[in-house]
Amino acid sequence: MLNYTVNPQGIASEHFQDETIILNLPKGNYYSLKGTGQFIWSHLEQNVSSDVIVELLSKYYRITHDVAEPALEVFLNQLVEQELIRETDFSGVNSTPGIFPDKVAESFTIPVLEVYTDMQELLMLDPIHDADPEKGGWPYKNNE
Amino acid sequence: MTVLIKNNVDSFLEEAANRVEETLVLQTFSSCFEWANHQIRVVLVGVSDTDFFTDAIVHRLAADISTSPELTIYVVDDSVAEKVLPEPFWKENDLDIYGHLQGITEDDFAEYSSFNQVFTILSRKMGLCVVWVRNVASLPEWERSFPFRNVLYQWFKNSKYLFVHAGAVGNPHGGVLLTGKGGMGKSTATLSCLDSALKYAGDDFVMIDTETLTVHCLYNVAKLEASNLHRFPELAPHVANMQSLPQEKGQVFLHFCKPESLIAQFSLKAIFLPRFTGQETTVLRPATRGEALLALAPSTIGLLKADAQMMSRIAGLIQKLPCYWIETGTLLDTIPATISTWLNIDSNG
Repeated sequence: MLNYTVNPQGIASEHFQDETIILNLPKGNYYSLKGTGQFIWSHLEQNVSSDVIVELLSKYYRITHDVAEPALEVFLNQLVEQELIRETDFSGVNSTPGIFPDKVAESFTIPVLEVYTDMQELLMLDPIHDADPEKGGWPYKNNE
Repeated sequence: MTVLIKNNVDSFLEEAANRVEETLVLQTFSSCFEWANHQIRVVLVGVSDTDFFTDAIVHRLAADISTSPELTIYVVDDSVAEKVLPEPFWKENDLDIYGHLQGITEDDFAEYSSFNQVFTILSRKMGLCVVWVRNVASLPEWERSFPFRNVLYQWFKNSKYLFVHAGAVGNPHGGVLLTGKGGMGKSTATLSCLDSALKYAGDDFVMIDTETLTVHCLYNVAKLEASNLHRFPELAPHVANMQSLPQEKGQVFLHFCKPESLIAQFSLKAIFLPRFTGQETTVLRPATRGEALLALAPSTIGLLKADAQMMSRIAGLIQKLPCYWIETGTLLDTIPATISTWLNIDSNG
């Protein structure tokens, strides 16, 4: 599988016990992740390779690779579409001690990215308008 | 692009300060305001409508004026005081597409806002700021309700103070933030407390000391939509901009009409997330910290044009406080009653 890393510009996330909130300033969107989605995002933030995430999903949720891999792939595509992650050449790290407890989770659910677009207008920076020629490009130093 | 150096900002601000201080004839206002014992001097130059910049902060006029305020803000109306400021050292292509001046240090802030034609330049090290306004008369009316919001945010940005988009009500023993997305009932919940035992510290932006968890009132304005005016008929005679309704929100400057309803600061006890249910009475239900962050962070970051890292500061605040949904009832007096009851239980518990 291809490997991915979190986009470095304008993305921030906060982890709570039952939810992860992500902010994407360049797109003006924000997101909520729960359960499996939190699990995957936390590992992406640690630059864990996709193959290892499949391994960890299988182990943590007691599911087969045949279930874990397509679910991860669909979810990664959603994250790419939202420009939250991007493909990377590096192979990623192979272990992430301490991110999630070393025990089996209760049940596997398909990871869901909840997308909130209602603040786009507010969150996206407005480019400044072209200078109005009638206003003489105020307030700039005159070109010499 | 010209490579700018720090000295350009310093020398521009120094010369600007010298020129303004010498041009007493154009100064229409000069006084100090105080938030959390931080004195900030405001000097208006060529501004005839001085109330535009002072109505919302008049309650924070300093009683004892310091001889050395930590920040001086010079507001210069270029349409009147055209020759007062020195020539800009920046050219048009020194700004990025968002209006930020490139090549300055982290200590400085300089930005051109094209929609209202205001250039703001601030040096944190020098404690000087120039707000250069093309024409004060052309500023949008709603800016009257939060003067210097961006300057104050930039000034306190790297300190223990956090600016958040929330209403705040409480009493000398403690209070709560009321925050949520538009249409959830934040304004109604905040305004409903005006005639109660709870005091008002803001309905838009407040400043929070994140170390002591103290809310500081920034602005004394209460804002209400034209569609909400019938719920608060006693406020109608005090709406200062009735001519701007319904396109803009009505502005009521409480310092002038209900000064007893204001509180300068209180200890922050909880975050309440209003949502209207249509039930008669008001009910509290636990909210998750994720829900509180979703309610508080996006609009705060968007309105302040802050960077993404601000979310972690807001999350840090939320981690320290209990969070509740306040399901507001149609009987408005049940809103302050519910908040007061919770505060009493909290202070006794």
